Amino acid sequence: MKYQDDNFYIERVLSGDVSAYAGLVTKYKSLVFSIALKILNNREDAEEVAQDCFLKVYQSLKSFEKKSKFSTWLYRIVYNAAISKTRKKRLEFVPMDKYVIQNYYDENTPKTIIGLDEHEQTLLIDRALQRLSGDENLLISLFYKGENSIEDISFITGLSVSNVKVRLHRIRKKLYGEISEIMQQKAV
Amino acid sequence: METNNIIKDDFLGDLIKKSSPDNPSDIFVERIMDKVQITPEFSFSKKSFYLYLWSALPVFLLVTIILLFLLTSDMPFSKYFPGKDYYSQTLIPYLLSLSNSFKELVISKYFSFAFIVIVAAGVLVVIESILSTKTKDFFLSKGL
Repeated sequence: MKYQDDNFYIERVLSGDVSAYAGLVTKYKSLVFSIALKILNNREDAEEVAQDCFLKVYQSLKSFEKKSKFSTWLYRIVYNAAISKTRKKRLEFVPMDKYVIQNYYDENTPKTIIGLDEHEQTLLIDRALQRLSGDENLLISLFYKGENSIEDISFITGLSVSNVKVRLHRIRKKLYGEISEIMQQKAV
Repeated sequence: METNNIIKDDFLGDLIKKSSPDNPSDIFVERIMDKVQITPEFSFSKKSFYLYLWSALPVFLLVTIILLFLLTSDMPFSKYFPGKDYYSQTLIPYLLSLSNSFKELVISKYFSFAFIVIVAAGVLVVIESILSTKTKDFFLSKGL
């Protein structure tokens, strides 16, 4: 589905066309729900938080200063609401050093994945992503799926820019490791 | 942005985009839009002057009709308006007696104390409501 630019929907909502807000909700519902789900680990709670955030954003749309992208502002609201729901001050990002990364990035991994059909690739990446923790999944989704910049992710999560860079680099390596392991298990 | 380039991995990006999305329930959008429809209108500040004029049109028409009726009528309606004697002999003495009775009430220490407490509480409530609105707007604008 092709979506319009965010400002198109925002201007229409602010000029009184309430139904235009459905465009923004449809455009972002998946990633907003995904952020809440990765933090809360519960579908009902995640849906409730996502819904509340969309209503909150609608009511305060006029206070959106457009200093950041609409999506970044929205994700930050969702992130903070989900964190508040868990009654934690901040998502506890587990230090990567605590992980024993048994599988090192294999240069040949991409080539073997290309050999798979699209359905197999989806199953493979789904399984690999399931092996990551919630915070790892969140960071990698924001970066690769949501196409947010490092600076945007830093704004959303409150982590420093350098911390986001290091974590993303390590999570990427870990994900390749998980993919390799799944493919090896499959071969056996 | 050297590190950005290291992290940037189009192959992995494309692969992750193929993963199954986390979708909320099918009625998610409808449920939000139902609530959005009943949320009070918030865009008064964006309402154009033209729209204000348009909404004032019925009032303007009604006033014009009444004025036309009064000006073209041969009814002695001017007799119903009180003359200056009414103000000097009736209204002003009445207002003076009213203010005197209030003055007696106000100089009572019990009344003064209650009045000060109520006024102070009122001022605090007004300040709190202004600050909380501004704070809420500020935090929301920052995405907090």
